[in-house]
Amino acid sequence: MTTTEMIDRYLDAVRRNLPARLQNDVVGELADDVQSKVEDRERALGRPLALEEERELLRAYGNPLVVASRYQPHQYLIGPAYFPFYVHSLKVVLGVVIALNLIAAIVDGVLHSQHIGPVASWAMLWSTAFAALGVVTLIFALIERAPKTAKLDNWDPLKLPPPQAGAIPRLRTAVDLFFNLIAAVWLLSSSVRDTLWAVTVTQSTATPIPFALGEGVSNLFLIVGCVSVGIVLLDVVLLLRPSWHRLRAIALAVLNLGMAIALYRISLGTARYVTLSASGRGSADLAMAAQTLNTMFYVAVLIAICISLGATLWYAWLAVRPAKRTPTFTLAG
Amino acid sequence: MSEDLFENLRLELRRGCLILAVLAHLRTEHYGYTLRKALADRGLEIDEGTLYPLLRRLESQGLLSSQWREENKRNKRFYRLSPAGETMAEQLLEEWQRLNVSLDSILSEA
Repeated sequence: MTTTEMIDRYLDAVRRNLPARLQNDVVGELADDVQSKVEDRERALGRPLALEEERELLRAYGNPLVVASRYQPHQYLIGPAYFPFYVHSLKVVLGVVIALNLIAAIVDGVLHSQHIGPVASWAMLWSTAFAALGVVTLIFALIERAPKTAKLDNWDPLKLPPPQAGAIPRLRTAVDLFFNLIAAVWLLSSSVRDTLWAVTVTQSTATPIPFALGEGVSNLFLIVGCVSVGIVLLDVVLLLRPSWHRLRAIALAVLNLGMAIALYRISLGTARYVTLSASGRGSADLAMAAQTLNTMFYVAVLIAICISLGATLWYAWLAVRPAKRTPTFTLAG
Repeated sequence: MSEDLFENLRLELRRGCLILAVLAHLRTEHYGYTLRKALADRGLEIDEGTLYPLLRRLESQGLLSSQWREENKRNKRFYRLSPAGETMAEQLLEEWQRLNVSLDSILSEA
């Protein structure tokens, strides 16, 4: 390759990335600049430039794509004026997409026996999230290129919300929502409640003796599942209104009280937690094993009632305690 | 203090002066290469990737006029101030002098 060919290639690469109306002018000017620089360098050296020297000279001009981009009217996909609004919109839209996908997954898991499964749900979440990201980005890119009529400064100090003392961080609420959704789906899914599990009784026979979940455990799953759903709904509200911490305390107090009452009614009932489903086994050991398991469940329910009552008192106190002083940033008068 | 930080801030400081420097020089006709050399000779180096888009922008804003002419067997685009550009240059010069006075006052107190 000759030095002239290299310069021609460079100029052509710049030209290809320019709008048609600018190509001749810009490339003509650039060509003159490159030639002038080459001539100056050759005059100083007293000889023609070598290919490597001219290569370095062109590299100093910059990548042809970058050089051409400097003549474009827009240097940003979304400029600094609109970028904060773009980021805020992204957070809101992605939050809604994630929430809707999770709600759809839980509804599917609870209502349908042939549910789509966690892998498909995960794939759907990613595809809808990316689609939402693309749409929001496209909208703001178009706004950036539209005639500047958007009134970004159209805000009123009188309409700003008060300082949010004690606001619950949204990330914490989102994580709480996620795990409670999983818990609610798992607990309310009929396949879990109907599962049999095998317990091997280590006797001389070593034959697996199946126990069956009694109605008591089904009821436990139902109660805790409903409480999880209640917390999920509460978390959705808190995502939108993180400063409603008093509502959160009241709701959690009510949910815990409800759970304590429901657990107490279960503990009074005659429904068993575990039943033997083995036929023809009259062994006293098996009956004792079942009784032990039921006693353990009963004690666990009592402990759960105590914890729920304690949580009720705690959240009730949080609901009624005096509000924290709202932060002020101005000097006292 | 890191060299990179100084270089970034130095570039920001110089960036504000370029437009006035370019307008002031184009009271006499120049083409891009000679304008760049003239600025560099006065201590205000500017790379072609910045200068040529700037000239184009100033022309689109009506502050410069340009024409292609052949010189030394090559076509060159010559720029000079338009009447609007001369007025703008005067206004920017006054603003620059005001800024200098303010800055001198701040620096003398510091």
